[in-house]
Amino acid sequence: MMRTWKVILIATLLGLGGCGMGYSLVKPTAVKVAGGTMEVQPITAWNRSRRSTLPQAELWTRNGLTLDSISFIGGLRDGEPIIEEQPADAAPAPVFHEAMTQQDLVSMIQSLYRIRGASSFSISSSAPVTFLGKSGVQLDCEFVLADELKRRGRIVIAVADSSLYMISLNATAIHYFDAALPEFDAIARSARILQ
Amino acid sequence: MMLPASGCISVSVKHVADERHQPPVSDYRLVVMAPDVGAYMQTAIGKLEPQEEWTSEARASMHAALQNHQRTRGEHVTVAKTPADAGADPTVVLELMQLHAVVVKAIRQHKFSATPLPTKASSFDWTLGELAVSYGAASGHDYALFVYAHDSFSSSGLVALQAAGLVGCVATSVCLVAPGGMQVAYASLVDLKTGQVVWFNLLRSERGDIRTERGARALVNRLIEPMALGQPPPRRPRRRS
Repeated sequence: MMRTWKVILIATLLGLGGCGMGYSLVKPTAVKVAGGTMEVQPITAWNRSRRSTLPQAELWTRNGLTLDSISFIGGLRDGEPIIEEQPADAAPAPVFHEAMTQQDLVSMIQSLYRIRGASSFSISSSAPVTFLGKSGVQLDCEFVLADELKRRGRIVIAVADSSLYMISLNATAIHYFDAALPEFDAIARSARILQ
Repeated sequence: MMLPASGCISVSVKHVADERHQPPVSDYRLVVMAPDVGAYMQTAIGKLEPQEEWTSEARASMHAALQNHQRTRGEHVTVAKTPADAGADPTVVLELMQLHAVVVKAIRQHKFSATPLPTKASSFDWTLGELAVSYGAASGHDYALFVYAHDSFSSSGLVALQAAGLVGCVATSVCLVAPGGMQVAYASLVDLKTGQVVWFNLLRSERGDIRTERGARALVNRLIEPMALGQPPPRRPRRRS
């Protein structure tokens, strides 16, 4: 039971609950996400988790959270944690500070994955990217969960108007990551901040 | 502590399938991947304790039952005991089995519980992707059948608790009997030409014993029979001219 819970925890990296929640349909049209802080344009339909423990966070999946998920976080202000702390967390939730450098943001992401039980975590590439019209960073990572299946992740992150915005894809390295990546990239490119 | 009332023995079997898929009736090569089999003792507090000897017995019985069942189909069937028996690089086979286990978690959560995915409300389209297709090409199999069968049995402490509950039934007419052991099993068929999971059957039963040949045979029949793989289609009555 603990193994299953840990897998769901990491699959819900942004602090959204994993068990006992329902899903609503996300249609392939322009849609507000992360508490209405961003708008994105998916190409296909997705399933949105109904339960969110952070008002600025949102989680989608296509085939189930242990297989693939897209996480959104938007408008996170200075001093706010990027996830809600869970009893199973190994350390306090990482906190965003507006003075963070890109390297600080990368370190924050590494802490996030490790706190949520990812082992053998490594960043395979890190590159500057334009996200929401701002200079941001794109990270590709690999990690293993309690079920011993390798996962891959892509995280796109930027700071705009002193607030943190992030979109991430996490999926099994076999099949599901590559299957979702083109649409994830399109969603990240389509993202815009809502005032 | 209130225990759920348990008045009868229940068996539930439910399957889902990709309706676009037509099961083959002949000339196919099937591999039954090394089954995931376990046997446990359920304690009075509900904890499941793995039992090595029972698991060995259950593995042997399930292997024999699967071989006997598939033999009646008359097709080219391999029942693998280990990943190395599955006809390709064991590392690839193990990865495929690990991915399949995670896919099954999603299928069980979204097709067999109260959290359906709206995008899959009227479809069944989970896949093992290109890895399954390349495995099929390397091993020469058309289909892979994954089987999971775990059985639990009441400990003496739990039996005593159940007996006390039954006594309470008689004395007070209020039946609060601790639930006993349970069989949970599934069979999952993957089309190795496409990688798609085309058929999935989940069984929960409060009766049976997979440690015995008879019990394993009964489980395999209940689990796999509804798939109708390798069975000729029902004959249509001829029209009289």
